[in-house]
Formats: sequence, structure tokens, C-alpha cells
Amino acid sequence: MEHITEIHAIISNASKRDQSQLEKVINNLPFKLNAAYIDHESDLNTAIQHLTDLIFLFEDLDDPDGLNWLERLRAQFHYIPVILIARKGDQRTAITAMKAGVDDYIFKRELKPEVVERSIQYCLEKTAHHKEIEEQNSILQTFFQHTSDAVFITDRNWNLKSFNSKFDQTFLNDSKAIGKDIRKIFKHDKLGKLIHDFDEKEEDLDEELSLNVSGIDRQYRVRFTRIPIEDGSFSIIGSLLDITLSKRAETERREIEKVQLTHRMARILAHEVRNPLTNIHLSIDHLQEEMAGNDDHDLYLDIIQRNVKRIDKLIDTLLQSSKPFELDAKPTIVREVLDHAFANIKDRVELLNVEFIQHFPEKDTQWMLDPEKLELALVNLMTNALEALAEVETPKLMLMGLVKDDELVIQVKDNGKGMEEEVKDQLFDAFFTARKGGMGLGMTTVKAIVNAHKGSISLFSKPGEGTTFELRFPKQKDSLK
Amino acid sequence: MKRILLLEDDVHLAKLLTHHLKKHDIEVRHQTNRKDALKELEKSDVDVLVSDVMLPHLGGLDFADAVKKDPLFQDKPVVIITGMDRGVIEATKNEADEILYKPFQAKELVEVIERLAA
Repeated sequence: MEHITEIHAIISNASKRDQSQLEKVINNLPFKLNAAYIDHESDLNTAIQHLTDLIFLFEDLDDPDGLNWLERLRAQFHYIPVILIARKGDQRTAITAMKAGVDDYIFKRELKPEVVERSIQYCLEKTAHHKEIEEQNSILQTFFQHTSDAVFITDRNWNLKSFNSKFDQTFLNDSKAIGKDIRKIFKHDKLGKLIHDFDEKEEDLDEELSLNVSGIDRQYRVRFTRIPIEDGSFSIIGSLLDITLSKRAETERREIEKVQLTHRMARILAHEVRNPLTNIHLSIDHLQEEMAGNDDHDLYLDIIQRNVKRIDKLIDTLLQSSKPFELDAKPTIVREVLDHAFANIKDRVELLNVEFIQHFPEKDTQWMLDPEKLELALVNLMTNALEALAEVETPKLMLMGLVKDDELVIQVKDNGKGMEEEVKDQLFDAFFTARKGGMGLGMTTVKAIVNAHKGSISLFSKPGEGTTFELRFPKQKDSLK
Repeated sequence: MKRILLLEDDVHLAKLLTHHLKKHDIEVRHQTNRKDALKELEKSDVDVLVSDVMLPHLGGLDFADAVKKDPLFQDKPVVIITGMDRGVIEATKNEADEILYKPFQAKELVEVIERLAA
């Protein structure tokens, strides 16, 4: 606490005798005290307009009016300390005064400079300390209310004690939920199960899970912590952080790394395989010249040669699919790309009796794209979709494109057989295929094309319900490389 | 009779090419590394240089580069043969008069040599 040099005090309800007694004390204080005397409660509001560090209140404590005024004063100006100077009374009445809200008391008979100085010192320190706590509290409150986590606090029985607005907006929509049992609110969903798990264990909980919030699946990091409180019990703090975007970014990064690794491996493999292939080729050339005219030999040599070519072709395909595409991006009418992509699969759509639904953007919607590459990606996606529709009763395929929030969003959606989780996880890996005869490079190609556009691809699929691929292409300010 | 210098670390390939080119009246001087290839070049009068790119250090490209910078040999035609991807090799086109991508057929190489040596 800083050394006091000057304070401003309001002195209330002092009689002439009180005043003269107090003046003597004031004159002997080691600092300057500016006193403003008021006689009536009604004068207080005017006096307090000026700088006021504390209030001295002369009172007989057995006077109920005095106590009432004190209460009103506390309610209105809780931040200004009040020192009661009791004209009469004992320790007991002093306690009553403290309970009523005075910060300190002095018996009038003890009114001496050193007593008053000590009391002022004490009250100012106490007020400063309170102010500090209040400020901290307000910072914490601000943080609590504005953090991106949805936070709640309950007692040990999950009755809500407090929550921030993020939690209210996202999960409650009930600002009067204080006191309610949170288990009843989240009874049936995944969060309810987490609460149950947390009750079973002693440790804190920290898990990631997907929650459906207002109809949208989002990833959350959920943490529950027990905080011990004074009586040996504990409170529970729960926080839910929406990590959907960072998760998506992480997945993207992993996918890109995977494609890059595949390409590096493909390049090494290709080089190593092409050398022996050349040797086989040359040997065949040689044998063909030596053994010309023998039908049997020609047949076998022909088979060897064809298969060598097949291996060579496979290597080419692998290299192509994993290669970071060089884009020829230009302002492109999106609708035309979708039209062309559909034209590629139209025959199969008709043959399989698939209902084709199209939601194409306006004719003048343009985007920086490589139309041929994007068309290839869409044809690959729709070809997969058609295969997933093979045994479906009323097969439907939807191709949709729209511009939303500075992004071009393209969806390929089917109501086919859908995918299991493990298929989803490996879908973009080179050589992963869920069907016979495929090389497992179609989706790797799609991924590489989308990446080259600096776009992203997400997959929503459930067995028996169908699959949706969503491609997002951000608006490009500078030209694509 | 034409004569070529072949820089190739795959001995099987070198043997096959030597055998095959001989039938087309082309003599092959084979070396497996850059240093020996340069020595061979000084020693024998060859019509065409045929060089593999040779991983991992791309020694074949360095060889082609050295040849093209040497006033004595810079007029010698250079053929690069490679198992690498087209895009990777395109950049080195300056050093090569011709690029053959593996796998190729013997007659393709014969055609190229005959054209460049003419």
C-alpha cells in the first residue's frame, strides 16, 4: 500500500461536540484529511459527487434509523469504506455494526489520532484489496464468457452452478438452467454417456468426440475436471472446444503427406522396375529375330511382350495418379464442367436406371479451375457412386455445385450401399480398392486433383444410407500454380 | 562401322545392347561410371554418346553436361536413356540430343544412333 499523503472523507451525523473532538484528532494525523460534514442522509448524494475515500459515521448503535441508513449506504456505495464512531456501546454492539456492514469501528471515548490513523490505514488497504479481487474476478468472468470453449460448472451431483454464454447458445438455450441436473439435459446423447463414464472413474476426462449440434456433425474436445472445494466435496468443470476446423486441417495435412510419400515411392519403384523391363524387352527383340517363323515361339514371346507392356502401363498409371498435378487453371464456367462430367457417365446412368438429380450453379458462375482435371475427378467420383448403386432399389445420384462464403462447393451424392469406417479411412490411399479388378488409384487421383487446386475433400458415408463427397475450392486471388 | 560410348550401370542392359547393336554394325564401348566414360571418350573416337541417367546421383546427366561443355567433344551427339518420369527429365533436355524412355525397343535406339551419326 502506498504511503497516504491526503484523503477525502465525509463525516456524517456529527454533533458540534463530536466535530470539535474529531477536528483535534484530524489536525494531529500524519497526513492531510479533508473533511466534508453532512447532517442528513439526503446530503450524502451531493457530498459523494466529490472525491471520497471514506465515510465516518457518528451513530448511537441502539438507534434503528442509524442501522437502516448504514444498510442503504452499503447497498449504494459498497466501494467506499465506512468507519463507525460509536458514541456508546460495547464489543457486542460493535459486532452488530460490523455485521451491518461497517468496515471498522472506533468507540468515541477512544478517539485518538493513532487509533484513527490505524483505522483509516486498515480500511483503505481492505478496500484496495477488495477492488483488486473484484478486478480479477471481472477478468475471469470476461474470460469465462468470451472463451471459445463452452464451459459449465456443476456441483458433484451435476447440478449446474454456472455456465458461459457459449455453452448456453450451443447446448442449452435455457439461461434459467442454473440448478438443473445436467444429466437430465444430456440424457440420451454421447455427452450423457461421457458424464456417466466420468462418474465411474476417479480421473479427469479428456476426449474427442463428434456431437451433432443443431443438425451438424462437429468434432469436440471434451474435458471434465473435479475441483476440490472447502468442505471436502468438489465441483465439476466441463469444457467443450469445437475442434472441427483444426481436425479438418490436420486430416488435410496428413492426406497431402500421404500423397507425396506415395509419389516418391512410385518414382523409385518405377525407375527400379523399368531397368529390368528394358532388359526383357531387348531380350525379346533378340529372340524374335532369332526364332522368327516358329508359331509356338511367337505366341509365347508375344505373351511375354504384352505382359511387359502391361507392367509398364501400371507404373505409368501409378506415377500419374500420385503426382502433384500441374494445373492449367483458368476462369472456368463451373456449369460446363459439371455438364461434361455428366456426359461421360450418362450412358451408364441410363443403363442402370439411376435417377440423376442435378443442381448446377447459374450459367455465369465462374471459378479458377483446371476444367479437364476437375472433370476427371468428378467422373471418378460418379463412377464409384454408380458402382455403389448397383444393388439399390431406387438408385439416385446427385451432382450439385454452388458458391457459398467465397467457396465453390461441389457435392457428389448417392443413396448406395455406403461405406464402413475402415473403408473410409483408407479410401484415398494408393492401391486401396474395395472392388475386384480396380487398381485403387481413382480416389488417389481425385485427391491429388483437389489438392492441386488447394481445395479440400470430405466424405460423409453410412452403410446402407449412401455416400456424399464434398469438394471445396477456395476463391483464388492470385493465380494457381 | 559406327562406334558409340555407352555409360550404363546395369550390366545386363549393356550386354544386351552391345549384342544387338553389333548386328546393326554399331560397336559399343561400355563404361559403368562417369570417370571411366570420360577417359574412354578421350581415348576412342566415338560417333554418339549414349548415357543412362543413373540414380541415385544422376551421374549420367553430369557426364552429358561435362561433354557438352568441353570444346573438344561438344559436337558429339548425346542420347539419354532413362527409367525416370518424363517430367523429371524434360528439364535436362538441353544436354541431350535425344531422350529414350525405358523400356524401349532395340530398334528405336538403332534408329536414333543412325540418325545422329549420319
